[in-house]
Amino acid sequence: MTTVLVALGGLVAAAGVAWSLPERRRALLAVPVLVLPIALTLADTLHDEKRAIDRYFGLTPIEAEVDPPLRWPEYENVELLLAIRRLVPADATISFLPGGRWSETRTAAEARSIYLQSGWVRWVAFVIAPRIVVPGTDASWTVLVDQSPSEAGVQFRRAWRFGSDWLVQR
Amino acid sequence: MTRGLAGVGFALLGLLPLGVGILLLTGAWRQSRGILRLGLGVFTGIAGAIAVLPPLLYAGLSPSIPVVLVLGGSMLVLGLLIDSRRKPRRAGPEHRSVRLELLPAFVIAIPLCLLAVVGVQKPVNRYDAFANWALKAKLLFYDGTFTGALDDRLFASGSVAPPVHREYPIGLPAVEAYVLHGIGGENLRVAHLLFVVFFGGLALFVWAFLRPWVSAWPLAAGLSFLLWMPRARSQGLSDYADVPLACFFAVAALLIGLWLAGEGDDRLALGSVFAAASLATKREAIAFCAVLFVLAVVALLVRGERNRLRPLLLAGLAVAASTVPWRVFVAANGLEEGDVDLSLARVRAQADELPFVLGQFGHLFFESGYLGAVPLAALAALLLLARGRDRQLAVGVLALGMGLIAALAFVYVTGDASVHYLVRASAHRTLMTPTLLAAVLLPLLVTRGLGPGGSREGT
Repeated sequence: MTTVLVALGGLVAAAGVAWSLPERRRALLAVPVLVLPIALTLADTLHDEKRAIDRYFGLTPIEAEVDPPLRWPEYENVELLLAIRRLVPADATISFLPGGRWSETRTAAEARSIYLQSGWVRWVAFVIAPRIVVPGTDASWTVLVDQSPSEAGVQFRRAWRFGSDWLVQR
Repeated sequence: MTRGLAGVGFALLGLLPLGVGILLLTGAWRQSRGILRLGLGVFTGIAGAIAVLPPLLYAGLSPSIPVVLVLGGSMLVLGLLIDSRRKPRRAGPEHRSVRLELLPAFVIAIPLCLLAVVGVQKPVNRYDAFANWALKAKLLFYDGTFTGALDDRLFASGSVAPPVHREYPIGLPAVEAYVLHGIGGENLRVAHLLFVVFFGGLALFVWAFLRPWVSAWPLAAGLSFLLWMPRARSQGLSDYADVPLACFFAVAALLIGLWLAGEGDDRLALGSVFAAASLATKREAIAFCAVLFVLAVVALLVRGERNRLRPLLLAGLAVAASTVPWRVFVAANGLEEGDVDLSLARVRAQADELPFVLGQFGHLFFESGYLGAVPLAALAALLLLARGRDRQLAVGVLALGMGLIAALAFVYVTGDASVHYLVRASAHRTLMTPTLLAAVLLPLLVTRGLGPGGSREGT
């Protein structure tokens, strides 16, 4: 607010003194009017951007591309993401079947719909693209969330466990 | 990172034939010379690609290097043919070629280089970026080198699975996917440089087209104001579409405004290309472009220049027609208009939220991060009115500014979600368009408000 008020004051002041200058020089008064707001904010801008540069250049590839930038404590499973990138072919489809605590008070379809719309799955879809997250259950690969293949009753060719989640190839 | 930087440079150069073709076709090629001409060519190429790639995607083609080069080559040949048949123009002051001198080159380069350093290793870390914009770019990059980039499962069917907002225009993701093709991999961190180029392109356009009206030092100060604006810089690297939209729309409004001020038809034609690019970037552009063209029609009617209505209406029709493939695609595939409902009943029901929406806008305009661009432009326009000079410029700027703000407020009160939530979550970025436009016009408004009369610099 202060910056803007000072900038507006600068324009009013410039308009006030413009009449005393030769006509050809009046337009030059625009320079301090336009530079003043920058001068008032430049130190903060440079400080913020230096911090951002330090932070971004210090990230490892996994921190920058796989670790979620926002926190979803109940959902996060970075090991699972790394495994999907390593094991699942780029042209595969992946479905999510949440069980355990996700389906205690809901039907399987409701739990799946809610889980798919979570911020975590948006992040998962971004990290594992071009592998496609599908809403149904008929994908070639499936992530069993908080349940084992036997608990989910899923037939599989291969399965890997990551914490309480499983990645299975159908 | 070196490969990524080279890839971005290669991709931008690949857009040059398209941009030069459009500049030749519209007649704006001779507005500039030297390095400035190259810069305008690249930015015009980006705008052209954003407008043209989505219909090509719907038709089955991919946003790849060969497709863009063929498109650019065709446009270049067409532009050369049309330009060679054009009569030499009269040598009015607005038709003098502008070049980029050392001072503005530094003024533009320093903030942009710093922003590029911030952006080049920045991860994609904002929600809408990874849920929507950058995800779509990644998906368009992977599927198909020549054809088949648009996977129906991801873009042509409603679904709770990502990406979100499949009804949004896909111009920006398409060009990002093209840049990823240039890089040769999914390095979306380096691809942030594309967003720095948007600012650079806007600055070059402002220099090229306002330089005949504003002397060098005030214009350089105006560009500094634009490029050092904290909110614009942080928003510019967010991967969202708000800053690209703001840059395209600001160029469109500037060029159409210059056409209204009596400059050549090339301004109207090129302005229409940028208006079409804004429409292919984000949906708010529908409201913004409607305001711009309606106000232009009103200006011609008020001034009794009915003979100029025809080219303006044709341009407006062409711009509106550019949205048809996108709207047909959305309607044909039943993609939901998730968060906006354009029913009058909804507007009436939420009309009492208008004071809140406008209050929030006002609050944000006075935040230091925007440097007071909108209040300063409004005060400078009022100063012009008070001094009784350049009344048309002042009234035009005030009307356009109020029109854009009213259009944005209208978009918010048609929202399906809570107006309070939508405004608090997004107004700081949707206000980028009126803010950047105000910043673009500030050097002209302030020098006119303070300086002597006269129509153009040096006349």
